[in-house]
Amino acid sequence: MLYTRPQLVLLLAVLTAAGAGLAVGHWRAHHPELVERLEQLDRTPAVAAGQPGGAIASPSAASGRESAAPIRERPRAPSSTERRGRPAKLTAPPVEAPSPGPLDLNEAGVDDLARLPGVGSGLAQRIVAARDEGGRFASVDDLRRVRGLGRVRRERLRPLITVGE
Amino acid sequence: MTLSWPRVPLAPLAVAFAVGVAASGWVRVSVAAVVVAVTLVWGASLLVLGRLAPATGCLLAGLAAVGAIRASPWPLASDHIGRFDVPAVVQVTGRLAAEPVVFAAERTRVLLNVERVGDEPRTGRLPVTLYGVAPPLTEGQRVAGEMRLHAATGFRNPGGFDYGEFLRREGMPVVASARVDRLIALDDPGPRWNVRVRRAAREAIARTLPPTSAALLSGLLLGDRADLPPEVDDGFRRAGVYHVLAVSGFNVALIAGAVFSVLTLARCGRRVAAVAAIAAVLGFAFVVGPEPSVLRAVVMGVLVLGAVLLERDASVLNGLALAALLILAVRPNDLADPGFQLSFAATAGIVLAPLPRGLVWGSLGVSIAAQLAVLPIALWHFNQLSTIGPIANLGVVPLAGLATILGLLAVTVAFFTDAGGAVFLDALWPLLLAMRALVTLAARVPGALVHLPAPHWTAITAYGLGLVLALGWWRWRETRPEWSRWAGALALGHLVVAVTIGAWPLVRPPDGRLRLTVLDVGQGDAIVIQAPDGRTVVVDAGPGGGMRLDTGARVLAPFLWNHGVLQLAGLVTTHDDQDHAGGSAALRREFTIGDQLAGPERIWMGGVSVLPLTATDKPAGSRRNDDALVFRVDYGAVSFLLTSDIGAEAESRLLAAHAPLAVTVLKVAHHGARTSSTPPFLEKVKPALAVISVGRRNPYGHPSPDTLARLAATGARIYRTDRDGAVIFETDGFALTVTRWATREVEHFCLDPDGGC
Repeated sequence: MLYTRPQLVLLLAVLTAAGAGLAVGHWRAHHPELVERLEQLDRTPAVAAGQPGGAIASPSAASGRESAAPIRERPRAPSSTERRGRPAKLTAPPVEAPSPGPLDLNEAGVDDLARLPGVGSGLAQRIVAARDEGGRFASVDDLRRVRGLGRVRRERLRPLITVGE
Repeated sequence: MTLSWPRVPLAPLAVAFAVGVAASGWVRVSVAAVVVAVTLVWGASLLVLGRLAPATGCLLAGLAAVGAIRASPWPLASDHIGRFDVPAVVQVTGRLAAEPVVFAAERTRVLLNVERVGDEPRTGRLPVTLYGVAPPLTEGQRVAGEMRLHAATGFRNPGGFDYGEFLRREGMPVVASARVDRLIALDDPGPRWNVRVRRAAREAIARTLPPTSAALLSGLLLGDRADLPPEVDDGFRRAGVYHVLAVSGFNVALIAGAVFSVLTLARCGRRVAAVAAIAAVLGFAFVVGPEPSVLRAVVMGVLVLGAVLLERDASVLNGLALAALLILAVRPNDLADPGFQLSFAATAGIVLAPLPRGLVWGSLGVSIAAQLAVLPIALWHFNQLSTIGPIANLGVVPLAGLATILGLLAVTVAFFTDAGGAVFLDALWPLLLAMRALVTLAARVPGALVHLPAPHWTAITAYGLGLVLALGWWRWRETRPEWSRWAGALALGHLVVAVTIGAWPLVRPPDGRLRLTVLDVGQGDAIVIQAPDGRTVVVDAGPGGGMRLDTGARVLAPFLWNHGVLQLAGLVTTHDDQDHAGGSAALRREFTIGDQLAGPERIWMGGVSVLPLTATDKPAGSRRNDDALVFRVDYGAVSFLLTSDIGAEAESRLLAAHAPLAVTVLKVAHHGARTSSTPPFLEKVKPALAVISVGRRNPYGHPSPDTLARLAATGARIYRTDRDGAVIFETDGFALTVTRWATREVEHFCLDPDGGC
């Protein structure tokens, strides 16, 4: 035999590639508009891709990372040792927007109460339930009859709430 | 032992060295040096006593310490450019250390080996950004020009990549910018042979194939993705097959295999074929450049071919370990490079995993093994988990392999005859189309690519141990069933722990605190509001768009993912300038976004009120600075005013409308421009704290000294993203903490009138 089997396989492969190449080349030359359409198969018009003015996007922005290899710093929450020093005292500006004046405990609904910082919908419901059951609140301190509203939280809420007649 | 590690003598060495390199950030050089000395003495003594096992341990510890010393940054030489007093405008002479990279229209990045600055000789490397259309420059060319030197800077955000920090670690603390018309070439050596080969290959491909297909083939063959359209690039990422666009062991194996088998078939003899294949592999590496993945593949390829030459068995794992040792010894910083990590993890996964027989199952096994191994790395660096990847690879990898072989053949033929090359390029064009169709299809599958928070290092450690134990379970299941059961149970436990820790940021219950972060996005605005009930809205998404770095994709998206935010309750763009609106397209692509803040009404989120203070009838697309939306955020006693880019005109309108302006924290308008923050406005706002979102070295001179003086006159404490990085405000409604991310400085304030914080 002139050639071994593997040699013939290689010859076959090269001939297939060359033959396919010639055929495709001819086809491409005769159907330029079809080639153009096939080439668009994974392209989307720049506008639809949602890139304002972005037909020419920078390659570095597109490739997802810098050409230089990025090493990232990990997110790190400030540790407790970094929290040093006593808190500085700031005077709060008037709380203007959220509510015109402090919230009236005897009028507020569950939704209003739940907007107070540190008061979730559960606690708000308990406040309203306590008001329905035990009557109107006589003072802010009267909130102590609501379960889960200890002294600390009452003091924090004090500037934001009031008790109507 | 039934495990194969005793036959991989280099693996423990590589692991010890890598551990040392990884620990270099925490270990002082003096400590490491003492460890080296002690372990050497102990190792020698134990050797003399004939105690081999403890001696091994000692010497491995010593090697780790050597790794730590190697990876510690060396002090810069006294004449290093990094010691120059910056900022400065100086005449710099140097040689190009690499080929220039055109990264945007009229923006070119070159790396200079500095020779002199002014009249003094200087050393060191200097990254230079050139503005304007750069002349054809090439590696090794000497150039001189007037350059503006400044400190390397990046964005400093929680969970974000800091390019400045990266450059400093690489020994380039100073960078430069220059206009191309100020730059002159002092000589013209012409490109080196490897650059000429690369250019000729690209040109041959581009002559025959249509642009997109040509760009794809350049990526497959040369790892050159510069001309690939962004949406095609994105498709490959979503389909989980991005690795085929990087030059890797795959290309090297194909080249070595093709050259070796063709020459063997041509009866040249195995030794000649092996030598030729080694030459081809080395030549290829020179042409495509020294990426870590290429170096790894070349070392391993040369080792395997060398084993053929010497007629010995090659251990693939040993080759992998040798490659790791060599690369880390020369470039220890590569350990943190995603390319290095992905390449070694994927290879180790494929080599170690038990693979099923058969073409289809075997390929699926390879694909899954590689995915499992790179999973924590892809999550850590890119927040990405590909679900379609193992399947998409089954179709894409064979196509990519065929296209690579044909492409190499075509390019080689094209060096001699263009027409011949064109025939083979035409033959592979249908393959490229099929691959693109497959990738497009896979990328469209819902949930093909999932974005998740970067896992904590404990989760990664648990995951790695889990995989190793799972391997033990499989290997021992016949020889040592008892061990196997234990390993299996432990593996399961470790994986459960890893998943639990990894998923924690997603399932963590809201802590009842409002977190408002003014991110460092350079010259622009990006503010993330995380409400106490866990909902998140974004007010402006930073600069973006075609011509610049997209901070929506690079800064905001990773920040949100790493905080467990996978969907937004709202995204609002205050006006249409690119430094506020540019990044929003990327966020719209990556997140589902609710309709909060879309209208002019106040919204409530877990006790936080966000109140729009301005109404505009201008349609989106035509809102200028004075039409910008202004928001007031209230939580308990703490309040914020976000003033976007409004100027004096809009300020007086707000004052005339008696809008509620008095707040605790003011986001200063228009990056601190002189024409905003007028005295009557500041008088009304009376901020205790003021934060300015502004880029370093911005060409507008923001923030203006006048504005800073006016702010100081109101008594406001000033935070600036150009100096402080991201500024993070956290409050429970009374106590307010402010964190300057760049320095991790934390300040506490109390707004409870009774001091109850």
